[in-house]
Amino acid sequence: MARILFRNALIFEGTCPQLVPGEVLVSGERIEAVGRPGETLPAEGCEIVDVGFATLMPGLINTHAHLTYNNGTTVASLTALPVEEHVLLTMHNAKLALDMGFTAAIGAASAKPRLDIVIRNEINAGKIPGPRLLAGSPELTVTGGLADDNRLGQKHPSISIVCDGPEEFRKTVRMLIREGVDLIKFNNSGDSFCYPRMAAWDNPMTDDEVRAICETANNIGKRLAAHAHADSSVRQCMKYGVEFIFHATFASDETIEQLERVKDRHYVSPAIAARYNTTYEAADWGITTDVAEMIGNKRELEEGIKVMRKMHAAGIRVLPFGDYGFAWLPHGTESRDLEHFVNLFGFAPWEVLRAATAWGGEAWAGQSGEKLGRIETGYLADLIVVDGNPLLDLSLLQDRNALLAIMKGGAFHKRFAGRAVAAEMASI
Amino acid sequence: MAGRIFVCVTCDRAANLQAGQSLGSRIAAKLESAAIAHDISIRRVECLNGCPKPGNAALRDLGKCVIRFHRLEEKDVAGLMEAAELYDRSCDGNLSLSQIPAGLRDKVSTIIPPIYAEPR
Repeated sequence: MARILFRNALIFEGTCPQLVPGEVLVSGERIEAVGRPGETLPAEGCEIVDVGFATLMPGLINTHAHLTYNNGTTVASLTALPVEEHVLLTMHNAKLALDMGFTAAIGAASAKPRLDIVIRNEINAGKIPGPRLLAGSPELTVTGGLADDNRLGQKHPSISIVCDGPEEFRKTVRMLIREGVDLIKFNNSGDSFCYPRMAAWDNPMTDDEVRAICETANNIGKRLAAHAHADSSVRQCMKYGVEFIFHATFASDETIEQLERVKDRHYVSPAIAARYNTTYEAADWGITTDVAEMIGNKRELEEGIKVMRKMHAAGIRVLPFGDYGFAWLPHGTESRDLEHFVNLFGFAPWEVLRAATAWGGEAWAGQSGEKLGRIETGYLADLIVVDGNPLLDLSLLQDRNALLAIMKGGAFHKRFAGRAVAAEMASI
Repeated sequence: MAGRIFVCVTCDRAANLQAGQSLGSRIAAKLESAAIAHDISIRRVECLNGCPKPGNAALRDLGKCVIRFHRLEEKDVAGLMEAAELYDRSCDGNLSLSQIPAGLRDKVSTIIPPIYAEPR
């Protein structure tokens, strides 16, 4: 069993506001020991990796990943690839995620039913590089809901499966579980991305439909996520035990209070880049700020900021990343969310890193008992080494050159080859 | 903290890169050489969301305006460095067009004000 000892590290443990000098011993796929300041761990039989006081921290965890999205410009275009090319694109996106320091991801909707599943299986088998992945279902939606891009007389394959009524949802959930998904995703609100069909504050799903989805998935031990902008959508998530509440943009103060009371059961993922970037940085695709305002995206941004600030203050676990895979929030840029969380929601840098690692690890693990997202004994050795202090400069995590080493399950995806800072100093 | 220039090293996303480095990588390399004499860090990022008009770089900092440039070329490096230093010294990053080096003024693609839901 390979043993690797990281020496001279400044450790971000996952839940602590400061970096702490220390050593980390990896044995096999797990962290065997963490040496505290002044403590020296036994090096016998170990490969020594002296990181020269770079930051050693848990790998990032994307709890709202769409590895199958093709950086398209509309929801309808996200599946506009033959399945063969789509598998390859997803494979490349999985590698890119790991290249950018994401060692785990939760599939938050797959553009075709089996894409997440086959990519997860290949990653788990060690055949292709990628984050440890939970496979998401396509988006379950109702006729006319978000991601139903059909028209009368015009069938349009989208990222969704359209169902109406509890029985259709039950059958579809069972079929997806048969195929191997880990998580069922459904859309119980509209979105500016389907303007003018249905606004984000509208909820097209009946309680009976949501109950049917949730009971069927929960009975078989599968996990649940909902595209839930509307206040009533968030309430349905609480009522029927949907663990991952995506967006929650229009949650009322009363709903936030209710959510605070059950905050240990839910994670909120605003995917705020889909609002910020669309409102301010999508003009090259024809979405000016005026257009974003017209379709409701700017309002989603402004309300989302207010709501996430309240949720953060209430101690609700608000998680970064999400919805990357569109043209103006493409794959590989997910870590900009860390900047958005500080700028827009008032998170301290260590708080958003906790959400991106320790809380992400709890979210990924669910009831499985697996341990990931922290630098602690017994946790999976999913680690990154950063060329600087991300608590002082979160933007380091946006630059793959600043990720000096990436390890997943005790195996290097990227080996440490010295610090750029040290090389720069030597050249002066 | 030192100022930063974010450079998209994917630009030009549509180009065939078999012939060599991307436009963005070439700009980033020149900036990195120039930055040694300045208190500016260069962040090589995967995208700045301006793919249709490649050659993208941005000035961003917590609590400041975002200023994004497009259609940059290698010859723009000195101007970018100058703009980055002005930006770093300003309290809100809200540079007027007249403050931006002349050669870059028509390459400003976006200026986004800092956005808060309520006063911090």
